[in-house]
Amino acid sequence: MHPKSRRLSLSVLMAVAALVCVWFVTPTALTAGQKAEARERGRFRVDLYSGFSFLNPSDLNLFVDYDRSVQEFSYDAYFDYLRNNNMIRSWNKNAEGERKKIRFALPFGIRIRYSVLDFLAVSVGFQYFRRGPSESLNFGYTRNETSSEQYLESLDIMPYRLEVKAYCPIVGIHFFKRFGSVFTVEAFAAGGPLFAECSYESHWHYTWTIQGQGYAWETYKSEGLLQEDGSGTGLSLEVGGRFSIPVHRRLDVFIECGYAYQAIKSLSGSGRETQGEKTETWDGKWGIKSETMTTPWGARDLLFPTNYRTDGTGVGDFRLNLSGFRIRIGVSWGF
Amino acid sequence: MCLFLTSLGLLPFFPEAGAQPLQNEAGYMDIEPITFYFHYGSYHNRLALKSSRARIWYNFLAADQDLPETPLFIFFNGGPGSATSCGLMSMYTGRYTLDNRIENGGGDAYIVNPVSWTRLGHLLYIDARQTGFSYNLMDQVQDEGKRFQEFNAQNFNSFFDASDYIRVLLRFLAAHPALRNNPVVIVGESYGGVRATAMLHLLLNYADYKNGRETFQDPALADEIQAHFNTVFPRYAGQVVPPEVIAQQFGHQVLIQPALSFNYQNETENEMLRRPGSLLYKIGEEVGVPYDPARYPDPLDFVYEVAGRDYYIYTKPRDWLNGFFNNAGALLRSVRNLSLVTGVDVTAIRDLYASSRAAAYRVILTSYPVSLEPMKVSPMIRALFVTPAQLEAPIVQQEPGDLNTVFGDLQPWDRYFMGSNGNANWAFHVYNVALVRGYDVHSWEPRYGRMFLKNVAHVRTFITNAALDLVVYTAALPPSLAKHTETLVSAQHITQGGEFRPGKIILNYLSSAFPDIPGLQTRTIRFPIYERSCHAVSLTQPLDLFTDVSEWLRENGIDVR
Repeated sequence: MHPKSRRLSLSVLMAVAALVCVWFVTPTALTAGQKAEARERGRFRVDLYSGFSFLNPSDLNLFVDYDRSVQEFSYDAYFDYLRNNNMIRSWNKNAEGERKKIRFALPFGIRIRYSVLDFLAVSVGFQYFRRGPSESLNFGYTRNETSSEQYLESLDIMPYRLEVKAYCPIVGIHFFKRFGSVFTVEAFAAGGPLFAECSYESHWHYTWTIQGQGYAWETYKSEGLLQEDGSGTGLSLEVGGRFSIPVHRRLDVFIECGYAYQAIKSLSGSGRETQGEKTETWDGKWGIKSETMTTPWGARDLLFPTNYRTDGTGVGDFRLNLSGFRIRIGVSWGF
Repeated sequence: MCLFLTSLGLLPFFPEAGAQPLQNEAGYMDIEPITFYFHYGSYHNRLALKSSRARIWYNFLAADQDLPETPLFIFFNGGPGSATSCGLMSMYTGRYTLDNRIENGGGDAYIVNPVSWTRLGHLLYIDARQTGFSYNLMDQVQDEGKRFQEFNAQNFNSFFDASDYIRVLLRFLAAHPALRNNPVVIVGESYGGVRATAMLHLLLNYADYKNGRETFQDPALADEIQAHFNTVFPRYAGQVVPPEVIAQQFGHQVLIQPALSFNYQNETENEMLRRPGSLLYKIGEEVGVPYDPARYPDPLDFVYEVAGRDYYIYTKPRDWLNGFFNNAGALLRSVRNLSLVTGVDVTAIRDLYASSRAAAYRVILTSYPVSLEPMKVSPMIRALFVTPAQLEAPIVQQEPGDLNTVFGDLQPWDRYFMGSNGNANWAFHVYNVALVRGYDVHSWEPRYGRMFLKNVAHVRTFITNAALDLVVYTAALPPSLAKHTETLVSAQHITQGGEFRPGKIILNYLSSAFPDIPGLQTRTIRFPIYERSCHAVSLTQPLDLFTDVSEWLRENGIDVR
């Protein structure tokens, strides 16, 4: 999300939350029966929930743009150059799988609430989510050489994985209004420290085979692994609303919607790269580096996140932004 | 010629035993597996390669007179994939030579060389990886598929080939402290021009081969060069040594019919030879087959296939020069000849013995059919390495001489000597993952021309201009260098002068040519004409080459007597 839109959304949400709070604190006259029922339900509640978090950790997702671009430039653009200069007759490509950005996560959490007043509760809780699908990618390129031979290049990447993991202990304040024993609506605000981790892993195998009439020679093969991890601490703030209905004397089900601001501005971690038999390891702060690939078939400017040698100049800030809209469903047990 | 030289008192002077502390040497230098890489500006998308362990053959001939400033000449031939032992080492540079008066390959014995370069300095001959006596080692050596994969970019590319030579040279110097500070004169023939160019560029700009600025990156080599400079130039210990300082040691190159910017050289040569009145018309008249560029689009094809002439010396029948190389290869497979030429008892060289080389390999297929590739190749590729390898194949398939009797029978994939390793040739030109992945490091690329022009800013340069050579047609060299319009304003060929064999190339640089060399304007390359010479100038005009090089070195600050 664009920073301006993000600021606007936050402002609107905060304003709505403030209005809702005013509405909630307006005293509601409870009947004697309702008061008795409330006492029976207890002042404590335990909430368990899961749901859907919309995310766009755009700096981390740069990996996908970068890797796609490098591959397109190193293979597709290169082969076009060879074909246009009559250095090969033609080429084609087969692709299975796709590098995917992180767009959502499935969080779960637990919360203990204590009703201080008939319209006000406070809570402590814990939220966790992790997203890191492991992709399997296979690319096959066939170059039809000016001789009768074909060069078959295969690039298999397994796993290709971007991962984020976050957990945050939170405290919250909840303004709620019960509508008899039918339903309850609530507005809440919560916050706490955010502990998050991110990682990137790409394990590739490359093979070049020469194929002619009656022969196929595996001429060269290699493999490599690039793995970079990061962790850091930030802030989590969330505002939202909740609608719950009782399904049992002490048990409610609820649905919550809201917006969470969750960002970490500084991450660091380890990295490891293996190519052939050589392994290099490092530790570093995450940043965004730029590089230009300059080749006989052109040049391409690239941006990529990394924690490899980011102490020099020209390295931009890396921010792990896990903010976004949240929708959750859960159960709440009173005691 | 030999008798003539004898009468002039030019036969080599051999000092008395004990007069010189340095002794002749021959043997192997172990090169450990090296990890290096190519990149186009993206570190994590580099092509990382790891070479195989190699035993590189070298032969050191101590100078006739060892003085503190006596230069060390390092010799190599070309190919790439061709040996120095049967090239420059056997052709009027060392103390013994083939006989150039015997047309059919130089005779059946080595003769005393009347113009041994040991008069000028110490000589170091090196056979490139997998050529001559040099061999590689690998695990699972009996596996044909794995041997095939060995002949690829990790062992064969022009930068790594040059780094092999630098490693051998620096380690040799380190092992001989008396020589460590001496000036080094690089002498390369044919593809050796590219090798000399890459070596000098690596030496003069060594830091850029570690810091990511160059496409080829060999951090261990940069460290090894720095360690050498720490000793030779202690004032700069631990710092990047400027190229003008480095040139105090590595500041002279003698290039015999060199490939430098070979694509441009080829283009220019073809343009010149197709012009009416060119040498091809003359050859056509001589053989009674008029040359017609439309009918014979490739000049070398016409010379070799139609006229039946040797493109390395167009006045001779085809394969004349290869006959000398192959004859040298056959002769060197005898312990007596090898000991004579190297100046040492070769039976003392442990790594020549079959028992030391169980993991050694030289060829992919034990039958050595030269090329696995059925496709048609260009006449130039054929001239440079297919034909030489094919001509040599019979004595590679079944090695003559007594080496196996003395050193033992080798594994079927190993050989004692290979003058031109066809499998290595293919690895440089075709089966090369660096080329397939788009790195412009093939030896014909213009990058080597640019590197050469940068080297010349610091390195005094002597290039032969052999009139009869059509493979490296040096008449085309000045105009082909002039095609580097990103670097040069002009490259003028001056054919007149006060020398007995005149010739110069004057390079006029663009002011923006090399930002790190401010003020660079003009450099002059000595470019003498050798009217009777083939590609191997030291074979056809040995005294003239010796004389010209001696004079040129004296004029350019090298103390030769």
